[in-house]
Order: sequence, then C-alpha cells, then structure tokens
Amino acid sequence: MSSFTKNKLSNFANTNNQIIKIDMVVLGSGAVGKTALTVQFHQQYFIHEYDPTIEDSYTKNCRIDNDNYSLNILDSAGNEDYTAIRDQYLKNSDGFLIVYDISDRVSFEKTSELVDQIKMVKDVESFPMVLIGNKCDLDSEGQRKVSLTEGNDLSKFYGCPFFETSAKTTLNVESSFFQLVREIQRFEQFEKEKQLEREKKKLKNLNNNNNNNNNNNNNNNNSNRTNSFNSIGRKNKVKFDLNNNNNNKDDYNENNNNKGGNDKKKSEINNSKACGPKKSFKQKIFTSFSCIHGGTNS
Amino acid sequence: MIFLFKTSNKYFYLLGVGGSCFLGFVFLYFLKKSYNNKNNKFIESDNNNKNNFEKEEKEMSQQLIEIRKKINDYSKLKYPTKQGILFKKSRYLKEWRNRFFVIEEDILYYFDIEKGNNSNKPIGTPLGIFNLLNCSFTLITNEKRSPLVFKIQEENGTNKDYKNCLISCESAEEFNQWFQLLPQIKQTMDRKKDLVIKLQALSRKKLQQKKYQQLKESALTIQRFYHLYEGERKLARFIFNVIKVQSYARCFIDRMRYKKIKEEIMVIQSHFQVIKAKNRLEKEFMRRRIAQELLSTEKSYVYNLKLIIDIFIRPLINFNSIEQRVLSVSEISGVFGNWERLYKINSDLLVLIQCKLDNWSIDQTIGDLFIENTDSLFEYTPYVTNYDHSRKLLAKLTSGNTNFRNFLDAAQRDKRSKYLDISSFLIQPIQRLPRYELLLRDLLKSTSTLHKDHKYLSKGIVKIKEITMYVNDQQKERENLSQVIQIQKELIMDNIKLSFSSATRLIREGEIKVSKKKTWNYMYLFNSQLVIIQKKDDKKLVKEVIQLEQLGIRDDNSSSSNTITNDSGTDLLNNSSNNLLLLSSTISSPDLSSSGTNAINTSSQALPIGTIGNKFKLIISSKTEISLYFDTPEEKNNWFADIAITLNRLETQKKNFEKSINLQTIN
Repeated sequence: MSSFTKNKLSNFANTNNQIIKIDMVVLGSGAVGKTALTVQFHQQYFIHEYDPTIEDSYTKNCRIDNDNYSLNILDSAGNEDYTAIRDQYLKNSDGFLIVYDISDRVSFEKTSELVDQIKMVKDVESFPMVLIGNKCDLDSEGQRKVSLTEGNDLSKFYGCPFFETSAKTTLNVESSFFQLVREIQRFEQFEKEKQLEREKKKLKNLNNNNNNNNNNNNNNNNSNRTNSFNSIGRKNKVKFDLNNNNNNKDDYNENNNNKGGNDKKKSEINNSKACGPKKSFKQKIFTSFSCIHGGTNS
Repeated sequence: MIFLFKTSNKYFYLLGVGGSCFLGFVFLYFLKKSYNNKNNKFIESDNNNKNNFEKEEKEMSQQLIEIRKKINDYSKLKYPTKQGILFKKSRYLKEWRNRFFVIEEDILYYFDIEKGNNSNKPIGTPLGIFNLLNCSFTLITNEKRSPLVFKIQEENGTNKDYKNCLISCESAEEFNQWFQLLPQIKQTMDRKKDLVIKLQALSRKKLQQKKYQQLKESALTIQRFYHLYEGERKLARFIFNVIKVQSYARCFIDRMRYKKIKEEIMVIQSHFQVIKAKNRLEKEFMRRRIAQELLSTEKSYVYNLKLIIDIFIRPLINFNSIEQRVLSVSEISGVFGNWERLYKINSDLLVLIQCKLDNWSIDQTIGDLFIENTDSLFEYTPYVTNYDHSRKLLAKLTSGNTNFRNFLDAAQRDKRSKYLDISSFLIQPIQRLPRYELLLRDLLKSTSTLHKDHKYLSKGIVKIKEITMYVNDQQKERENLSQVIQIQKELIMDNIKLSFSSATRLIREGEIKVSKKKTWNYMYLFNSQLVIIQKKDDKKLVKEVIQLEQLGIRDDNSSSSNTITNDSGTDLLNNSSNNLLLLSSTISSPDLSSSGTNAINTSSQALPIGTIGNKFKLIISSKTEISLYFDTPEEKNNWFADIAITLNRLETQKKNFEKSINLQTIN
C-alpha cells in the first residue's frame, strides 16, 4: 500500500501531462444496482433488460478539475457471500463506492458492516469513500424505506460524501464518481502532510537522543505521553509507543509497518475509540462472533 | 108488537090506536118480502151458484158484524160528512119513523133517536149500516110521502131488512140534498179511488223516477268510476306497454351487452393466450440471451487469460540471455501463480459451452455441463491463496526493478490489453468464480420449473457455490496461518515454551500494563492461550503464557482506586457478572454457554450506566491473580468481551468433544 501511495504521490506531483491512475471498487450487498451504476457511468445507458457482455473491470479516461485521470472501476457483483474473496478486492483499490438501495432496508444496515470490514482490511482510520443511495427514482413510486436524513447522518458519521443516485435517470451518477476521485486526491494530500510531520518528529527525536540524563528521559516520556494525548483528537491517530529508548521506538514503528496482522488489531483498537461506547461494544461482539465463526469453519 | 108500541112516536101512536088491521097489513108485507127472497135463493141455487153466494154472504156479514162491534156509539164517528133526521119506513108495520142518519166516508149509519123534548141525539149502536159504494139509489112514486121518497138498495141484496130501506124527507130541499149527495158520495169515492190509483201510479212513477235517478246516479258514478278506471286502466295499460317495451328493450340491450361482454371475454382470453405465449417466448428469449452472455463472458475471460500468457508470461520466460532476463522463474511463478493451468481449464470449459450454444434449442440444457465438468475449478484455490503474495511481490518488483517497470509500461500500451493494467488482469480469476453463480442464478430465474434444465441448474448452482465457498475458506485459513507464523517469527522464548498448532488463530492484540507503575507491555490473545510479552532493545521477550482452559476473569470496580464511585445497582450488576464468570472458569459446572452469554449480556448492559474503569483481573489459579490495566475503559471492555467469548467457545468445544468420546465408547 505504501508503495502505491508513493506512486500516486509522485503522479500527483507531476500533474502537467501525465494521466493519474486511480483504482476504485463499487461495493454493496446483493441487487442494489452496482453493475447498473457502473455501466451507466462507463457507457451512459441503463440496463433495462438483461444485457450481455458485462465486464469485470472498466477503464474510463476523464478530466476532473483540470487534471487527467484514468479511472479503473472494479465491479464486485456476485460475491457478497464470499468475504475472503471480497477482501482481495478491498486490498487492491484506492477508493470505495459504498452502495445501498433506498427501497431495501437490509442493504442499508449492511453498509456499516461493510465499512468496518474495509477498515479492518486496509488497516487505516479512514479511507476515501463515497456513500451512495441508489434507485432514488423509486421514491416517486412510494417505495422508499431509507430516508434522506438517515443517509446523511451515516455519511457524517463516517466523514464521507453522500449522494442519492439513480442509474435509470442518470441522477448524480457522474458526480458521485468524480467526488470519489476528489476524495482520493484529498486523502493522498493528507498522507503527504502526514509524512512531513513524521519527518519532523524524527528530527526532534534525534535532538532528544543527545541528552542521556534520567531527568531528560523522564521528561521525554512525559512529552511522548502528552504528544500521544494531543494526537487523540485528530482524525487519524498516531500510534504511540512508550519505550525506555527512542531508538527502540523507531525500530518498533518500522516493525509495525511491516506487520499487517498487528496493524489490523490495532486499527480495531483505534476504531473503538472513534466510535461511541454502545456501538463499539456491540460491533465488537459481532465481529468477534464472526471471527469465531470463521475459525470454526477452518 | 109491544116493542114497536113502546118505541113509536106520537104519529105512530095515533095510527096504532086506529086498528089491528094496520098491524096485519104490515105482517103480510113482511111475509111477501121474505117469500120473494126465498124464491130468489132457489132460482140461484138452480143456477149452481149457491156455494159462491153463501161464501160472499158470510164474508159480508162478518165484515159488517165487525164494524158494528167496533162502533158502539155515535161519539166514535169523528168526521161525518153529512148527518140529520130522516123518515124511514119500517118493514113489518109499514110506518114512517124518525131516524138519525149519518154518513161517514162511504158508509151510511142510522141510529135511534131519544124520546123527549126537541133533542136530536142518537142513541146506542147503529140500527143499520149501508155500504154506499155497493148501493143504488132510486126514486119511488107509489108511497104517500112521494115524490119525496127514495129507495136505498145494495147491489148484493139479501133478505135482511137492513139491506133495503125507504127514506123520506120533510122538505124538498132536504130531499134534494140527500138524494143528490148520496150518488155524489159514491162518485167522490170513485174519484178517490181513481185518485188513489193515480197517486199510487204517481208514487210508483216517483219511485221509478227515484230509482231511475238512483240508477242514473249510480250509473253516473259507475260511469265516472269507469272513466277513472278507464283512465287508470289506460295508464296501467300504457305503463304495462311501456314496461313491456322497456323489458323487451332491456332484454335486447342485455343481450347486446352480453354479446359485447362475451366478445370482450373472448378478446381478453385470446389476449391472455397471446400474453401467455408471449411470456413463454420472452422467457425463452431471455434464457437464450443469458446463455449467450455466459458464452461471451467466458470467451472474453479466456481471451484475457491467453493475453496475459502472450504479453507477459512468455516474453518474460523466453528471453534469450540471462543478462536480459527481467524476472526469475520463481518471481514469475510468484506473481502469476498457476495461470497457465487456469487457462487450460477454462479453455476446455469454453469449448463445452460453445458446443451447447451451437446446438441451441428450446430443450437444450446447460446445468448438466456445470454439474459434471466443474471439478477442475477447485484448482483456482492456489491462485486465490497466492494472490496476496502476488500483489505484494508485484508492488515490490515495480518499485525496485526498473527494467520490469519499463516492460510493464510497454505491455500496457499494447492495444490488445484495452489500457487495463496488470493488476486489473490479475484480479479477474478471483472475480470469475462468484460470477458463475450469478449467471447461473439468472439463468435459473429464466427457466420454467417444468423444463428439464431447471433441476440441472439448481444442482449446478449448488456445485459452484461449494467450490467458491471452499476457495473462500482456504483463503481465510491461509490468512490466519500467515498471521500466526509472522507473530511466531518475531517472538523470542528463553525460559518459557510456546507452541503453536495449525489450528491457532489470532483474535486480538494490544498494549497493556501489568501494574500501574510499570511500563507498557504487549499482549496477544489466541484461540487457546494468552501471551504477554515484554519489549527489550530490538526483541520481543515472552514473559508469560497463560492457557485459557484454566483461566477466569473478574471485574472488581470497588477494589480499584481509579474508578468513579457508582450507585449500588451497578455494583450488584458487576457482582452478578463476576459470579457468573467465576462459574464459567470451572470445567464441571453445568449450563456454561447460557451463563456465559448471560455474563456478556449483563456486562453489555452495564456499559451505558457510566465509566466502569480500565482494569480487570485474570484468575490463573486459586492463589495467583494478575491485574491488567488498559488505556481506556472502552479498550478494557473490548478485551473483556473477547476473552469471555473465547472462554465460552472453548467450553462448548470441550463439551462436544466429551459427547463424541461418549458416543464412541457406547458404539
């Protein structure tokens, strides 16, 4: 992931004549209209009847905000029951379109589960995401089950844009994909700033290494503690590690970056802090049961 | 004779004194009359009318007797028309005597007169009665007192004296009055009869007229009623006719409407049949389209598989010299896995699908193909399990190897690749297996239940689902195993033994404190044990390993000094949860799973009450306990829940194992 991020950052820096490549995945529960939405964006027509030759991946070149983009859209139709196969999709992509059906309550409730799964696999606090409520043309027919305010509240909770689309009437289809591109660009810029902050911290740590007094060590520990407390309020929390020596801390951070499994579990810990106590506990029990269920199957 | 002397007047007294000859003359006279009457009787009896005569006589006599009985006195005659004293000649003595004569209506009465002074009063019952209607009046010229003498004689005369008498008057005027009056009375009576008859006739006429009028009125009423009835009858007839016509019209209209409805029903039925046939045709059309989509997607998939072989794999393998080689053989197999094998599997499948669709008909089946020929799809498992490694290796190679990156850019510019990069191609086998299920499910939806292929497709879907689920499970197991192996490599064990089996799974990891004053440590929660490590320099030292089979957990808020003071209710909740979890730690206690879930529920109920604390205890044995401190209460609760769930699951597994052992011993 970091290598992809570096490539994207380099591409972001050289925006004059190059085409920026972005991978995105359209996710959601079954029969919410993922394929219809993707085909509408890619080929500008609605799948009224059954249409042959539905591809798995779609590539579209488009111009957004004076930049050239090559969008690679992956349609995850048909694999809602296979979570391990779905994880392969999640690892490979930069941004996500989370789709639910406004006439299906269950698809809306599964959205939370899906977002938690993405956080676990990507091992990040937040990621570029757009929440989409599809089939809003059925609202005029009186089949709406999920209100607009519920979608808005959920999107605010996750900190992502929200659109109500209709692949049939082409409402908000293009703008939702374009907004995801903007989210990905903003996320990459944020990651860039994050790296700069890390470099600054390294410089500070090097300065602190020169002082080897016990009082200075205690002060350093306290300062590290206060730094970690200061970082709690931010959206992406810096992982703190309290060691006797600062050199050990650097090594520990490197080890953390290399280990995917450790980061997964820590992301769970960090997720629990961001969420409220009720939801976190219930979700945790649910995820634990699902893990146990997976374990028993194996 | 003596009687006559006593009753006679002066006049008769003078005559009587004269001589007895007069008396003898009278006697003879009476004898002649009686003899004449007798002779008349005999003559009539000779004519054979004796019986009739007697009857009439009896009747007349009876009538007169009755009249006499009724009239006892002159006072009863109330309305006389004429009355006065007249001379009447006696029958036997032939003397003229004074008698009082009274006429009332049509009957003549005569009475005796009192002796005395000039009194003219009648006395006693009438001496004689004449019915004037049956009498005749004649003048007599032979008598002394003539011409003032007339004779009254009834038409049905008899021998009796009172039926025939001579009457005389003193003066001519009086005589004229009486003589003229008597016939007049008869005439008047006759007129009266006529009047009566006329009156009767008139009354009869009147009655007739009344009847006629009544009849007329009744006729008028009847006529009027008849007219009314006629009007009503006409109206009724009219209404009846109208109703009749209406009924006819209604029948006609109903028939026409029925015809229309029948025609509409026929049209609807025919339309329905058309719709039915159309639906059948549409279903068949849709079925064919989905089958064609299956073919076309399989074609494009196999094309892409071959494209990767032609563009990427063979050029990488077939470099002439070692120096120009971009990747090693192990790297190529690391990135692409068993790609060539997948190509062969799917090209064979494509040939079979192509044969099915070349010989397409309504009765063609596809599900049997997927039942019999999809066992080779299990070989997708190594590719899917290798995908994560492949992705990481590809990232590493593109960042590190300049020649490979240039090679990829050149390959991507090829027109055949549709400007998709290699990662898009590598993801396609992973997407293909779920897509089979999607296509077959759509095909099953378009196939009727009576079709032969419906059963085959159902079984085919089950088969594909099994294969995909197997691949999914293998991927999960692979991920867990790689995770555990990675942790195992990092750990250093000096004094304590730590063994991992193939079934070991990582559940949770995080930073903890064993006491308040000490530094932070790290803890791993696996499915069978709990590992606490300490970090020194660059290494991770395993400090303690706790087996979960003998572990208990307890949450004591009152003993912790950092906890906020709570109500007694929360203490009760926590105490109950503590007791339940203590029970769950022992092996032989019953109903562990239910008590464990109750513990979890009670602890979850305790959450919204308030902050509980950031600490709980691990009970390793009856003597030793370890207190674990966490950064936040939420983190503590999450660890508590995970450990409780893991303990609960171990107990259920142990129960099942014991049950299976018991079953084996019984068998």
